[in-house]
Amino acid sequence: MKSPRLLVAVVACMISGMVVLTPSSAVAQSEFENTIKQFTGDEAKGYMQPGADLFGADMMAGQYRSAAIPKMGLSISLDIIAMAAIVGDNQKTFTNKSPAGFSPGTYSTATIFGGKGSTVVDANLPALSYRSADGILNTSLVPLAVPQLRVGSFYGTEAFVRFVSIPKSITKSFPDVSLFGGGVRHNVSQYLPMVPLDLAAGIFYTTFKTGDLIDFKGFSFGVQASKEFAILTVYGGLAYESCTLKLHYTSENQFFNGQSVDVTLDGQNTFRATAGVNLSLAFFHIFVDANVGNVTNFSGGIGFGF
Amino acid sequence: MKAKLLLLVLLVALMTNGSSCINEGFIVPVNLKINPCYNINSGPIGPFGGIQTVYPVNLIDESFAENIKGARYYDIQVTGNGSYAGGNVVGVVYVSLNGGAEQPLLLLGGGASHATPVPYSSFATPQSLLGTSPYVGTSAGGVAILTNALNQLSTNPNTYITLRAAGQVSGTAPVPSGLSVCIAVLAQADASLNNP
Repeated sequence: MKSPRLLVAVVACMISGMVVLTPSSAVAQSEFENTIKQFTGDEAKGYMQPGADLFGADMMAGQYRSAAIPKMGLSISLDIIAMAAIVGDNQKTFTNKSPAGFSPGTYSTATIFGGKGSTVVDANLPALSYRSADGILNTSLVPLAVPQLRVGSFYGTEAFVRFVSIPKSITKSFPDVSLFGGGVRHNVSQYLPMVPLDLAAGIFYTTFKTGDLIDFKGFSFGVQASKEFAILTVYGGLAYESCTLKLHYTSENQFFNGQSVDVTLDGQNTFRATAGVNLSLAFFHIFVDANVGNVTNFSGGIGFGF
Repeated sequence: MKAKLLLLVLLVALMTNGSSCINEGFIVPVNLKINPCYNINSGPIGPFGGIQTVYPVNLIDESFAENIKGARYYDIQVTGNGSYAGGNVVGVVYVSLNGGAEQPLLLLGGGASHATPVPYSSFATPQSLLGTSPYVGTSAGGVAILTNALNQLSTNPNTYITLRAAGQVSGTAPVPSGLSVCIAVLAQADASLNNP
């Protein structure tokens, strides 16, 4: 981040987004929940799919900053990792179905990241028209931040875990959120001493829940490589990943009132290539990387440990 | 511990910073349905009708009703409940706003002006404007009254509309029991959220 003000703005957007994405507290229902409950299942799917794609890409990022894993001995570090996925123009609109009998039968309208929702006018009866919701989030990035604890090493294997639990009220406007992630990585270069790089492989599983409304699960496995140059480490990796975001709500659309709606969104990102750098200064380190796949995102962080 | 402190500092910073990436005043169209039904008396053939008063505010969740910025209609459907072999029906539904002058809203019947009785069975499946039904027509003046009713919600929550049906059944006598004509006006009211 180039300035503290920009960092605060990104974090403010993250927290604002989490408030939008989380369910009702004792004080007030979130704006997101008010909006999504008006949707049919198909409309919710189109509106939220970019959210699932970008959020999923963020959730799977920032797992490592080096492929060097000691064969034995205690190593432990605590990192604060921030991720940000870029909102592309193709993620601001989706094709929605018009009400039955309308001509045209479909129209383009805003996703959760879009601008104004579109109004479709029936070509045969111009007195009849139908409008979709506006986008909620005005941002070019979808940010996220998590703490991550890494502990190793046992025969070249380390484990890492992420955990965030925001109780019902840090302030009165923060409802519950829970995030959990855990993974294991293994030192591969111990079997390939002739390779002049540190090599590792790992698996990772993560979940995110907000009450009954959002249930996210993600899984990845991949390989990593790195090379140390004094205090600088250059690292990279390839990973396959899969994530699913489930929405569950009771529709308040008068035509489906009281009906339970379940929408399953599969994240678009299934493969990523990562490249980054890590700077180690005694017990403090800072790192940043770029991730390229169907979704482009960035992660970086600071941490303490050895 | 240090991570918790860092997050706490950031939370305090953002609360005082006031930054937000949520669009101000974004619109959520709330789908709602105005659906009065009018019973047809069994026995001799003749007129049927009735008056229904609707308070649109009761159709919209209170979290939306205070910030209505616009309204529209995207279909009007008519259904005839029950079976009436050999029976015909014709009618008009009038609408008025807050007790004012009424206007015709919906015309049920055949012909160019929808004034010709048609078989009751024609309405066994919902007949709608969007379906280009030959048995249903509408009037711009009545639709305007409905639109005004929704648009007034934010300034006058006590806004009400009165829907008066005046129709006639004919054909085979006696009229069986259990008949009714139901209207469904499919509408949207635009609620503005996250207002400054």
